[in-house]
Amino acid sequence: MRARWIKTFGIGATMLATMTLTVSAQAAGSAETGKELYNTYCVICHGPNMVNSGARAFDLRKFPLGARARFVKSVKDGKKGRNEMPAWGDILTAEEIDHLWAYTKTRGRL
Amino acid sequence: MLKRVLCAAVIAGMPVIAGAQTIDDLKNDAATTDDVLTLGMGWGQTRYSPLEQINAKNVGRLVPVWNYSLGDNRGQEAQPIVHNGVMYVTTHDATHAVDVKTGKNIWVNKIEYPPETPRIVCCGIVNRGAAVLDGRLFRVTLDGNVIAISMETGEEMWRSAAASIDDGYSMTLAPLVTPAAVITGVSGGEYGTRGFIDGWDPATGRHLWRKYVIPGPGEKGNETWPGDTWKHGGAPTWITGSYDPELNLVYWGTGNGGPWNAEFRKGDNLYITSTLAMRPETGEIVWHYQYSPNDPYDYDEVGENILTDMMIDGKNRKVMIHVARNGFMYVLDRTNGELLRANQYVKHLNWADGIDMKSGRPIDSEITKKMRAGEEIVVWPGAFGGKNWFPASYSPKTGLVYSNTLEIGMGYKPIEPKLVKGTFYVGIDLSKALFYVKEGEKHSYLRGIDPLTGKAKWEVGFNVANWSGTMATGGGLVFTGAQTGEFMAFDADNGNKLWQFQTGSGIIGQPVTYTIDGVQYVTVASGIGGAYRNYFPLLGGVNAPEVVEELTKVQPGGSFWTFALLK
Repeated sequence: MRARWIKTFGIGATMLATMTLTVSAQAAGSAETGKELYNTYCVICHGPNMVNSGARAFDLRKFPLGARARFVKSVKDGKKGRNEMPAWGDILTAEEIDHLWAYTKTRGRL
Repeated sequence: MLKRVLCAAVIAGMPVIAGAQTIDDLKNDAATTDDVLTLGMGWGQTRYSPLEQINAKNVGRLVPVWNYSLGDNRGQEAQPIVHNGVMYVTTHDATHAVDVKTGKNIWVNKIEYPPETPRIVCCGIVNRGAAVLDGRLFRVTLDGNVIAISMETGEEMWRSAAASIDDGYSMTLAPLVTPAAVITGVSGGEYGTRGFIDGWDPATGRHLWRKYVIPGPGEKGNETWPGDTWKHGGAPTWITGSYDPELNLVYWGTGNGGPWNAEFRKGDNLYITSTLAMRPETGEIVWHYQYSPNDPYDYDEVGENILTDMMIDGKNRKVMIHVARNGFMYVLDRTNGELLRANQYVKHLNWADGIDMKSGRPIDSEITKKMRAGEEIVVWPGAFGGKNWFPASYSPKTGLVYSNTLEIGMGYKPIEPKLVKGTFYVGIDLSKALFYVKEGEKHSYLRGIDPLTGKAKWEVGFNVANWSGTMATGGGLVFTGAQTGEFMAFDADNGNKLWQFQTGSGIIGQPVTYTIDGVQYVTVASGIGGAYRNYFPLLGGVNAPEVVEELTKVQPGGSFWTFALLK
């Protein structure tokens, strides 16, 4: 239904992102607030608009959209191993992580 | 002690692990070629070895003897220590003792640090090496501790907290052992810190002294900071100083001001971007030289201060050579800080019109004046500098300084800084801080530079920037590594590449050479990481996509390689 609607009205990627945002905003966070938080805390590793080569940090544009729990855990507790990242649970609140998740789902196209 | 160790070693069929590295051993390190006891292969950090067994004629026969895996994917910037047939190497989370003859592990000491730590480490989760004295190995931890480890057993002997990650501090440098104290500095110039240098008792870890690089209220120099700006003014101290035992002076470099946007801290901001000549007993500053007063461009001057003697204007002078991040090469009289030479060594530099030799101060260019008025500019060199942390070497044989150098500009737009825990406190628009390279030119050169003129006698260009230290030898060679993995030897006279070996990951380490039973070995770490790998793809990708493609193909994986001539 949604795909046909987009096709019909010729709406591109940017609008799709906005729509995803609307859906996620209903569920939890705001992508706009998420983007602000992203640009404060995350941009220096994950890149402006999530664009990075994947050499330094995980390419967030490839994060599985259904894996909210994994996202929250990685941000809160950090990660070890090849995709190592620092923990942010002592700075970011659960609500802020929800905003970040909402922004992550836009694939950086907000 | 020595006897007991000798017995144990004989019984176990192992090399002698401990034994006395006395202050005299450290003092003579540059002259004794059968060990490497200090960072920079001598307190003067010339990174020159008189060894000539491996030389320009036979280096083609250099082959690997062993590779030691560090089991770690972070960047490997450490210089090894070699003593009595044992090599001591560090990573961000471990210290390893390795038998130099076999390349086999003797012991490993693992370190834990809180998972929050890396977020306040801007430029690579690394460690740059250890220091040793009397059977103790000293190193720092990423989360701000100084520890001593038994060189014999690998067990921790003492641990002292120097700084807290909660305040934005981290530690990556190799400590400096002087007769009076083990000396350490801190990283964190981008995170609202206030830099300092500490002295520790080598036997117990007792804190002996602390010198804040930014003077507090009532101290001389505090007046160069408006209001409370001194509290978060940066001036980190993240690379090891050198030491002159005759003058009893430690030469320690200091980093950028914080925030980068210097309009928020009008004044000279003592002692950012300086060399401090200090007493190791107390941290007292005997003299200082500030390279870039009120620096807005992240021109940390923490890099090595090379101590040597040379004829200048008909007089033999005790000098200190500093290949400054701001693009000029300085020669100072190290007895009193007098400026003797300051010459541009990079091709592209637009932030200053030169150095006023009378005052020692840079002359702001039109570009810098525009930026100070709030305009967006592209500054050369950019924040990586004309040279970053990776140390240069100096050969008394050729009189040349051998350094990897950079020709990378950066977009710069000052904005109001915000101090937020765990984030960059820079006050520039990071979305505009893109790296620029000149079209049709390389942006990385290994150069053999005359320290008195800043002119390169020879240079060799690279597609992906070199981020490794250099080492010069009496065999007429200069060794360095590429981030694309090649470990290379060049003719010290003309820069001809004579040899190379692919090490599997990128090299950002510090090569050393030494003999064991009369045979010369060369060792270097391989394992990509560090600031260029962190930021060039992120902020330079649009301007140099082919460089980023080549760089990002390089796989991580830390190890040490040791080479010798094929018999």
